[in-house]
Amino acid sequence: MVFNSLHFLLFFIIVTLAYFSLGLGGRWKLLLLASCYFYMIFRPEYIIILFVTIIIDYFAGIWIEKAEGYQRKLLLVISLISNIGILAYFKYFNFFNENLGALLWHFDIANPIPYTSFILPIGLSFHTFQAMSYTIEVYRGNQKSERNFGIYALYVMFYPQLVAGPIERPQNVLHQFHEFHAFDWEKVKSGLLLMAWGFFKKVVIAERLGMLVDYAYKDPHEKNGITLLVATIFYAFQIYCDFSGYSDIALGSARVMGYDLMENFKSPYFSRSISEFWSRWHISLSSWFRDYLYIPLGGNRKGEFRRYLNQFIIFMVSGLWHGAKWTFVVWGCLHGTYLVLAIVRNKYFPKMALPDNFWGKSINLVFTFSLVTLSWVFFRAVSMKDSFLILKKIFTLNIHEPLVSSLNTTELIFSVLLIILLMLKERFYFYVSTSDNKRFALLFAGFVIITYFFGVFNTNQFIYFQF
Amino acid sequence: MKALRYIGLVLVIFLWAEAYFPEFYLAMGKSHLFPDDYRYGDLYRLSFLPQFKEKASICPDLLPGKSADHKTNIFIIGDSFTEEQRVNANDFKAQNYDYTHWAKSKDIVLDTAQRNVLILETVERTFREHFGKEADNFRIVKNPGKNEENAPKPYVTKKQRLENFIKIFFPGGTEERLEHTLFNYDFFLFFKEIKAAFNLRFFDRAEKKVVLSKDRQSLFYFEEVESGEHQTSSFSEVSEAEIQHLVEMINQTQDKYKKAGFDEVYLSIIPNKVSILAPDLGKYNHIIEKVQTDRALKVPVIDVYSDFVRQPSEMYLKSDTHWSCAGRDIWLKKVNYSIFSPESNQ
Repeated sequence: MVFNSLHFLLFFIIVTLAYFSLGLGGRWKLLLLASCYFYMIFRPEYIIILFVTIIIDYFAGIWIEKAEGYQRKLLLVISLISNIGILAYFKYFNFFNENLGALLWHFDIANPIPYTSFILPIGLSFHTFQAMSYTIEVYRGNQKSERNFGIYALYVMFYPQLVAGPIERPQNVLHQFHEFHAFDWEKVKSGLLLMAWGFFKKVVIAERLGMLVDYAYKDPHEKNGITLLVATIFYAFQIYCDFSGYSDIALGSARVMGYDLMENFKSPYFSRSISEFWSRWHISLSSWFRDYLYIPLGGNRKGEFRRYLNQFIIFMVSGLWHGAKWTFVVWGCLHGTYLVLAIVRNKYFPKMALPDNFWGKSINLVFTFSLVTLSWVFFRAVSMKDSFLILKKIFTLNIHEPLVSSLNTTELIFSVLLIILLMLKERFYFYVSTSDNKRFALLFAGFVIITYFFGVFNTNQFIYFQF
Repeated sequence: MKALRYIGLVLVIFLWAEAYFPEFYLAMGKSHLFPDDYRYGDLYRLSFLPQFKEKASICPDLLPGKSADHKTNIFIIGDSFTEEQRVNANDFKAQNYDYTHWAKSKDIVLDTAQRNVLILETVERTFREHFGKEADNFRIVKNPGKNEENAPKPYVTKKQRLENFIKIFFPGGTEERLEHTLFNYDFFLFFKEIKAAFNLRFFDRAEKKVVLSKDRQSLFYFEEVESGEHQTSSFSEVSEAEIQHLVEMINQTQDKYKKAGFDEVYLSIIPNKVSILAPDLGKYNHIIEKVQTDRALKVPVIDVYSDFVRQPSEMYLKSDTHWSCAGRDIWLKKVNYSIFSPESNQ
């Protein structure tokens, strides 16, 4: 079920009303049932895959806690291999098979391995990573194993964050399912307002910008440089509004019921370096990679070269996590390269750093945004060939070329105004207290009306659902 | 407060169930508890443009109190143009009239002592789909008994059976049904119209599933216009080989049904609205003329394309993809003439 649908709104109202009508014992059962329904609306049969990983990790957690010595490690490895194996089979099998086929073709050998015809289960990468963080934390002794199978299943399946995160840690969420959350009107208001803002970002901004992006990226060889440049900048904001909009709705809908999920975005386009960008963008994923991959690989403790290599590896893997395509791998490698170069510059050429004044900060901000935006070309383009073509056209653009757009001039200006509004909100962190009920009602109604009248309702899925 | 919560819960669960289960939705539709979403035309239903809002009217029967030709039975395999609310038995001189939608199949009994005429009616946009293969909607039986079923009836694999079973619980299409259930009242249509008019006025765009003519006086269904992925479009290219294949399939269909007992088989292709009102929206493929004038075509044709082209503005409803009463009457008169005039095969 997609958030930007009437179906979800009705589902949310039913679940929330029923939730507050039940006691603690009934609540987790209701949420588990609701989460199953939420997931099965996409493709019912894939719930089996989800439950296979849940069963494996549920028992792995208990056995890891009980075991000692090398057995603990063995059980963890078995659990991780199972999770990664399922992810690899459904997400990467055809990708690797295709590349193997291409390699064998050079030696005139036909690839004997057939392709699979499975469609990627929605949100597989998200809930697999969330499940893995549970067994790792139990192994590390930071989390007690969960004995209630239903609550463990709910930890993996909790509908607000099931298909696109935030990728939660068991220490943050599991205990909340054991607690009784009394109806808190302040939390309800704050949650509803966060949801309304998320919907606004998705349907008013992201979907509108997406119309130009889709138009330009569909057939890039027929579009000129200026069109592709504007579309790429629009895409930077489209994906931000799309993904952070999803996270806002997820956090908001959980908050209404009294649950606190981790923040996933902190105004990332105000970052003044790539490392700062990654501490503000998709925080739950970057911290996952830091805690469960970068540090175990040695982090920055094993010498300079290993530090660079580790940085590069986590970004390359992060790229692959996003999708089984070379464009995603290149996107990840680009960010890895940016980061390694920044570390080298800071260490060996400290004088190259700009002064810490308004101009220095502004240039760093624009430069960081430009690097991030250019890398989005690989993220959005259909193929490597298209990516290079788009970059070539952008770098050789003629400023006298007309902008060929699927949006008319008024809507283009309106789109730019929306981006400015978004940035102003993030820069100055507009906050309106909702303790006054009348003010809340006015604000909420305002959001609903504006979102309806200016929203583009395509029932497109959120971009990150595909991962 | 508690009571209010439970009442609210019951109400939203009822709305959810009504939209979630198609059978429940249809039953509610029949009970007139929710307004008919097609009441202002199918194109208005997609666009909400106020200038294309017209209350759907029912055309008067062409031959009320007719003197029927007791020797002739008419069978139609047709689409929404000849559905019951648009065309019925009182529009034909025949003694018996039977309509079957292209998406259905049925067992029929032919009284071979009488004259049995079959009309293959299809709108231009689905013509290529219908005659990509031989039409197979009737099975001639000696005794009636079987009810109408969904066509086609291919061999069902275990996987398909499982999928069909899952579909009972996860039927899909909930969003559209929910939209119509909740926001199909005139009160909400008012807001939808404001939004649609605003988008058109300032952003120069209508809803995705409709296309406006260049002068913005006519509205069309997107599948009739956008040629990219749609074979249904009047502007999607059609090769000579495809025309030959289509003609061959039409001939085979005629042969099959004549062998089965029909005396005559007619073909009638109703032009897309855009083919008549705005062929300048692209490069029109002229598929109707190409098929109808193909020398290999053995099936007699009931042609309305040439009539519609002569008086384009009156042939279609403003808010709908279907024909107006004037367009429908032209077709009906041609059908009756083709079948019952002295020059016909009777």
